[in-house]
Amino acid sequence: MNIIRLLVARAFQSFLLLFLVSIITFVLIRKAPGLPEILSHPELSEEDSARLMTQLGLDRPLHIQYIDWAWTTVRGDLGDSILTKLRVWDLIKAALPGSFYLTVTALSIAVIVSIPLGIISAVKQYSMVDYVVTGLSFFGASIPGFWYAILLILLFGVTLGWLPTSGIRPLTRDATWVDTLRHLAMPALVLSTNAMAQLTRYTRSSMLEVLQKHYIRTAHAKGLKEVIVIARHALLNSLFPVITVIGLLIPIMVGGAAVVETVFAWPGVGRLAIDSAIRRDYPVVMGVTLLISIVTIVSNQAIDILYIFLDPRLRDNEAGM
Amino acid sequence: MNSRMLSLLSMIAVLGLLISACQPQIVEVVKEVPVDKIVEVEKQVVVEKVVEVEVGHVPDGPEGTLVWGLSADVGATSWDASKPEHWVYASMFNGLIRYSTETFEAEPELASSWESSSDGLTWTFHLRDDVYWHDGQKFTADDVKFSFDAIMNPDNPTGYHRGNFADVESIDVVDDVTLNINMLNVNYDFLPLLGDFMHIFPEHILDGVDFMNDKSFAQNPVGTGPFKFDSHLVNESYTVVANEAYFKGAPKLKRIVFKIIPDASVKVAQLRTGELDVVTDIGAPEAAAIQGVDDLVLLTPATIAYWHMFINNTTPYTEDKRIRQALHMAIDVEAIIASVMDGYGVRTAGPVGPPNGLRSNPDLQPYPYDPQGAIALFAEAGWEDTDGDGILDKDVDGDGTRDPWQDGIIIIPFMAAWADVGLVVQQYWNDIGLDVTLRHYDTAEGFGLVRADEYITYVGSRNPVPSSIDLSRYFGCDAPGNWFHYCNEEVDGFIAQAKQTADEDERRQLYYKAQEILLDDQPSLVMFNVVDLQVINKCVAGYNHDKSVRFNFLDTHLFSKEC
Repeated sequence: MNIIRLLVARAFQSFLLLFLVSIITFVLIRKAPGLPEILSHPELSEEDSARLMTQLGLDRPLHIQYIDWAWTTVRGDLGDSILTKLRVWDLIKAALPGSFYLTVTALSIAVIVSIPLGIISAVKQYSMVDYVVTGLSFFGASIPGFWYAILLILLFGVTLGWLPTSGIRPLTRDATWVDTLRHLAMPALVLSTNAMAQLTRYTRSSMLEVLQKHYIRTAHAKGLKEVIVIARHALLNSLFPVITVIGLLIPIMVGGAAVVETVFAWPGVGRLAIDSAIRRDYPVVMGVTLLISIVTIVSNQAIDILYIFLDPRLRDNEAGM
Repeated sequence: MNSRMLSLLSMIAVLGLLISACQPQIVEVVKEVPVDKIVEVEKQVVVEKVVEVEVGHVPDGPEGTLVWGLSADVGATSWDASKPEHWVYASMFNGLIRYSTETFEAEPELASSWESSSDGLTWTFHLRDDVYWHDGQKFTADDVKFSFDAIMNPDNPTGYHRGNFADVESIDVVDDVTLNINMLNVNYDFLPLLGDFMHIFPEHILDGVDFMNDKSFAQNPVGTGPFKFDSHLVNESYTVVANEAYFKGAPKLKRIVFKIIPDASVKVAQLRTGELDVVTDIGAPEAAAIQGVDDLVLLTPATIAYWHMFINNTTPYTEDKRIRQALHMAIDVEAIIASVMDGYGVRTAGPVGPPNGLRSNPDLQPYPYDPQGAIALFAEAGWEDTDGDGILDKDVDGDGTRDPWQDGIIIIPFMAAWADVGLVVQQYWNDIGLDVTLRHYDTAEGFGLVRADEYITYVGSRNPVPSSIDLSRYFGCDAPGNWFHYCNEEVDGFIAQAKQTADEDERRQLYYKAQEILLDDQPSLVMFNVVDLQVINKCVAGYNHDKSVRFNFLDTHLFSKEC
């Protein structure tokens, strides 16, 4: 029963949040100066402009437009792109696989590399290994992705010729899985770099904190080997904050991979979001924002619920909030 | 200082850093510049380069794939033809006529010949009998009537093209291969307008379709052109394949893949690795990056497109034409071409510049760079620095106090170098005693402000239709494109007269007169004609660049990849 109440309460919370986010986004993008590209063409006359506005439904009062959008969206219809006439859902569907591959790969690389590095760094604090890892983390966190991406393209794409310079697949022939991996290599590396830097540091500091705890001292006192102490007692506890960060990274990567996607001409959700916002393609902006919000909210709620299962201390308190 | 204070202070410091790192959207750049002249940069640039491409083997039938780089995805229809992405449609569709790429004369395309009635009110077109749509149906005059009626229909999103039909009353089908266009007014310069991306669409597919909302045609276009639609991966690529039944003969290429690559440096990288064969919208920095690369050729055709300082003619700061002339004279355009455009520009005296060939008035001279002359003209118009603050002033609002000449040049990143040009112009204008700042907006926002007349000047460009009618559509008193609110009835008079003149030479002289007046009136400060930068791989043959910039894919059926 507890579980059901928990899930229902969280679902209700989520809907409320989505609703709020959609209103704010709608108002912001409509209030932003400028109009969809086809309306701001220099050659368009006043009356043609006015006519187009009416045909697109853009001259109605704002709240009517929102209600119209919300009503059709709730019934499953995200509408059509103003610029390409394609269905918003089709555009998003086309962009999802790209974002999925990129995010999953980048996140996996980040997790696989960072967590062991962070743990080693913490366990051997202030050693050479620690300094090297810390240095690399700062480097990875501060490097501008855009510049780094182009450097990689120049090195691996142009000079060495090992990897394709952009895109998700070779467009002149059918793709094999080797092609997919080769196309994925550089974008995933660039996207994961910042995440790796953050995760390494988080893991390190979290582990350091746990290593100070009394029960670790007790474990040492019991005569347990270092490895057992870390693996059995320290690891899981230190990973809690790290799981939170991973959960937060997912939506960031989905929506925020825009720079990587633009440089590598990767067809993903981030690029769709940026393009449509700049060109004021309102239905697409709303659709993409909704999608990213859902991903964010769902992953946050999932992490929360995961915590409740993992950490016995939280279970008894949890009454749905 | 205890640790609490210390951490509070460091938090504030970090916060301060963060806030300062987040720049607001609008950046006002006020520059103090010394009045001394900037060093003159001389640059030699070969503007028209004839490229000899070694012909390897010439294929008998369609062979090979050409990969073409685009910056953004293709839009829904070619009626929105304002950007390179939409020119993809030119490989799949034809118009009644097309332009000659050198002289802009009308050449036969779907129409094999035409004549006008003696009173000029009816144009009769004789259409080809051997044209088929990509789905096998025969092309007839019904398709032409359908397409033109659709463009003229105010319920369709064709505002951009509807202006081309301003003088047309109706279209009549005489028989399958004969069509009459009935004019409201005599307009002997009407013909070139039919080559301005006026593609003919299939009536048998589109009859009854709601153009505002239809998606199916955009997802599966059917035309008469040298290439047929094959596939479209949204935001990735657009592929067309050879139409072997093309009425001008089968193309020599089997397939063209238009790859969508937003980033300019990546385009260059791909040109170097051979992943891209052609890129036609490259900028000066990228052009420099490919100099000396063996496999690539840089083409630099001068086009009829031009850059100008767009001026709102109705503000008290700009309504006097002497002020506009002075603003022009205060700018060293040659230096801008040499520095900002890397030499890729042709100084021109007006909207119909030298690349237009015979249509350009050869006697007109562009304004020289003359800051002293500019200051004198300002003085004539009543602007002087009376209070010694270095800025010219005059009482414009009639309240008894003098107001400084101020302008916030609007910078819209529609084209990358507009910002650089704006920066330089700002310096020149500040040099002669004006108070000029820069206002940056994104494209949608910036154009919105211009439409609302909330600007004094902005850096802009124009890609005119290669017809002298273009002048009236832009500078005519009631023209829809006349965003600067310029009005000179003499100009309107010459153009109206020219339209009624059947003789080509006489017509041309009348347009010359209109250009003369425009030079004097300076509704906008036309600075230079754009030199288009195009990069092709040496293996690509038959490439025909085109001065109007709009029709780069005109001869797609002639392209071949020969290595």
